[in-house]
Amino acid sequence: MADEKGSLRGDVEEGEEPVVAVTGSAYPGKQAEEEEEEEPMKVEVAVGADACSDDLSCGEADIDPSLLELADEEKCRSIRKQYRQLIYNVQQNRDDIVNTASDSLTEALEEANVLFDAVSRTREAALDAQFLVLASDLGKEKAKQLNSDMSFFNQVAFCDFLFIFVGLNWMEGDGRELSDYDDNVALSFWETVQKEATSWMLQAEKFHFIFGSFKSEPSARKPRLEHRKKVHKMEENGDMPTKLRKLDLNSNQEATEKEVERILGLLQTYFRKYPDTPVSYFEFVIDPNSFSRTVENIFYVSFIIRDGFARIRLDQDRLPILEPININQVGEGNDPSSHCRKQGVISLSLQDWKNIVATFEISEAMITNSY
Amino acid sequence: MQGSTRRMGVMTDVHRRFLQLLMTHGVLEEWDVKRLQKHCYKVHDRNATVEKLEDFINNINSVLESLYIEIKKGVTEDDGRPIYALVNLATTSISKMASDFAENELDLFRKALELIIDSETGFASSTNILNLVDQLKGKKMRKKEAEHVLQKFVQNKWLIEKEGEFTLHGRAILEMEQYIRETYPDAVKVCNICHSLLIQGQSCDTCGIRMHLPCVAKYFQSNSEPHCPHCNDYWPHEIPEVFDPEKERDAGISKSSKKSSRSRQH
Repeated sequence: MADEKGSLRGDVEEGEEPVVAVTGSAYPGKQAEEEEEEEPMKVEVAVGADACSDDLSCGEADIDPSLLELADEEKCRSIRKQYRQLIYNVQQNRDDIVNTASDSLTEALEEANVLFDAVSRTREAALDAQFLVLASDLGKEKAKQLNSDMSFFNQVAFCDFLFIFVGLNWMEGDGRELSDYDDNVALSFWETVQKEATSWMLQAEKFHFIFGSFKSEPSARKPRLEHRKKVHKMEENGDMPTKLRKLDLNSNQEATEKEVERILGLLQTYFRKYPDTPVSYFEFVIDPNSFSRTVENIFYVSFIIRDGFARIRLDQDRLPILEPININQVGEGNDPSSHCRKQGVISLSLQDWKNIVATFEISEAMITNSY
Repeated sequence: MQGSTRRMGVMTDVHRRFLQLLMTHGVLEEWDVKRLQKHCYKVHDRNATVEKLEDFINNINSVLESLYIEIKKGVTEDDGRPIYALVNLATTSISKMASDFAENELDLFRKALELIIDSETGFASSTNILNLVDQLKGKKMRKKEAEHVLQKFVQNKWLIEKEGEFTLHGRAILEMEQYIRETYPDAVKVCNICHSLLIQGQSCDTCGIRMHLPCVAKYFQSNSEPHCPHCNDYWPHEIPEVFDPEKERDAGISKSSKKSSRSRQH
C-alpha cells in the first residue's frame, strides 16, 4: 500500500497529468475484498475539473488505485441495491422516524456506514450521498421537534381537535377522505372556527366604504330622455318582480289548467251555438295576430283532446276538424281508456302559419285573450 | 395637519371608542348614536359631562379631515329618521385597494346604482339588476351568486330591499351623493325643498318637481289643502307624518313602526 502511495506521489512529482477517480470526498485507503495489485498507470481519468483533480492529487486523497479498477461488478450492483433498499425504507418510514422517539434513524445511519465501507466507485458514492441528504433532512425535522420549552404543541393533534370541534368526525373510521367533503362543509368549518377564534382575539373593526373603491371611470352614459311621462304606465313586467327563488313552478301548472278549462268553455259554447257542426281545427286554434298564441292554443287544445272532451278527425277534404264528445257519450262505454291510444304530431312553422292565415282567410282569433 | 388653519380637535379614548363603534356599524340612527356616546363616556370617563352630540361629532370630524373620512348626518328617505354614517370622501390610491367587495361585485353595485337613479320610483327591480349580470367587469358571475351579492349589500346597509326591488340605503346616499351628482348629472333628481339628492320621493304630476317624503311632511305639516310649491296645483299624494322621536319612544321598546304600512328597513 505504501509503495503504491509513493508511486502515485512520484507521478505527481514527475509532472504528469495527475488523475483521480473520486468525485467529492476524500477516500481513505479502502480494502477491497478482491484487491489486485495493479500498475498505478491504469488509474481512471477523472471526470471533474482539472483544478479539482489538482487539489486531490496533492497527497490528500489516499486512494488505493487497486480499488479503482476491476472492482467486481456483481458486488457493486449488490451494494447499489442495498443502498436503494435503505433509501426506500427510510422514505417509507419517514413519518415514523420523525415523529416517534425511536432510534430508527440512527440504525439506518449505521447501516449506511457499513455499506459505505464497501464503496469504491462513484455510482455507489452518489447513492450514499443521496442517502446522506435524506437522513440529514430527517435529522433536521427531528431536531425541529425538540422542545426546549415546557409546553408541547402537537400540530397534528391540534388539527384533529379542530375537526372534532367543528363536528366533522372524519377520524371515526367510516372511511371518508377529506376530499369527499364538499364546499358547504368547508364554509361552515371556517365560520365555526371564526366564531370561536374572534372571541379570543382583540381586533379593531376596519373601515368599510364603497365610494373610492371603484377602480376605473365609468363609461360615458347614453343621453337619457329628459322628460319622462309622469303618469306611470304599467310596464310589461310591471307586476311585482319576483326573486329567483320565489319562482313558484306550481303556479305554472295551475295556469295551464285554467287556460285549458277556459278554452274548453269557449269550444263548448261554440258547439252549443252551432250544434252538430264540427269546427275547423285551424280556424279554432290559429290566431292571425300572434304566432306564439297559436302555438299555445294548439297546446291547450291537445289537452282537451287528451281528456276526451273533443275529438279531432279529418273531414272529406282531409282537413282536421274538432268534434264535440257529449258527456253522456263518455259514460256509455266510450271511455277514453278503452280507445287505443292514437297520437298525432302537428308541426307548424312561421311560414306555415302565415300560409294558413292567408288560405283560410282567418281575420280574427276564435280563442280570445283572457286579458 | 401642518397647514390647517382650523384648530384641530383633540380625541380622547371616549371619542376613539365611539369612532370604532360607528365604524363597526357603518350607519346608526340618532337615538342609537346618543346611547353609544353615553356608553363611551361611561366606560372611559365616568365623571365628565356628556358633550353635546353635534360638538362631539364635529370634534371627531376635525381630526378625521386629513384622512378624507367624515361622520355625516342625514335623514332616511322613507320615514325621516335622522342617521349618522361614517363615509369616505375621496378616491385615493389607498381607497382603490378596498377589499370589502370584489371587482365584479362593485360593478354590480354600480349597475344597480345606475338603474336606481334612472328609475321613476327610485327602485330597481331585482330581475332588471340580475339581467345585467352578464355585462359585469371582472370574473364572471352567475345569477345565483349575484342574488347572494345583493343580499350582502343589503346586510351591509348599502341597499334596501322591498318586495323584490332595491333602492339605496341612507348610508349609500350619504357616501355616494357627490359621485352620483358628478357621474349622472342629467339623470339625477333633486328635492325641491332641501335641494339634496333624491332617490325616493313624491312628485308633482303637472310640473314634475320632486320632494322627499320627510320634506313633504315638514312642508305640508298641518296644511289641509296641500298645493305644489312650484305650479300651485293640488298635491295629489298622501302627506306623511313628520318623524317625532318622542312618539317613537312611546310606541314601545320594540321598534315596529307606528305606521304599519311602512316596513322597517334598518
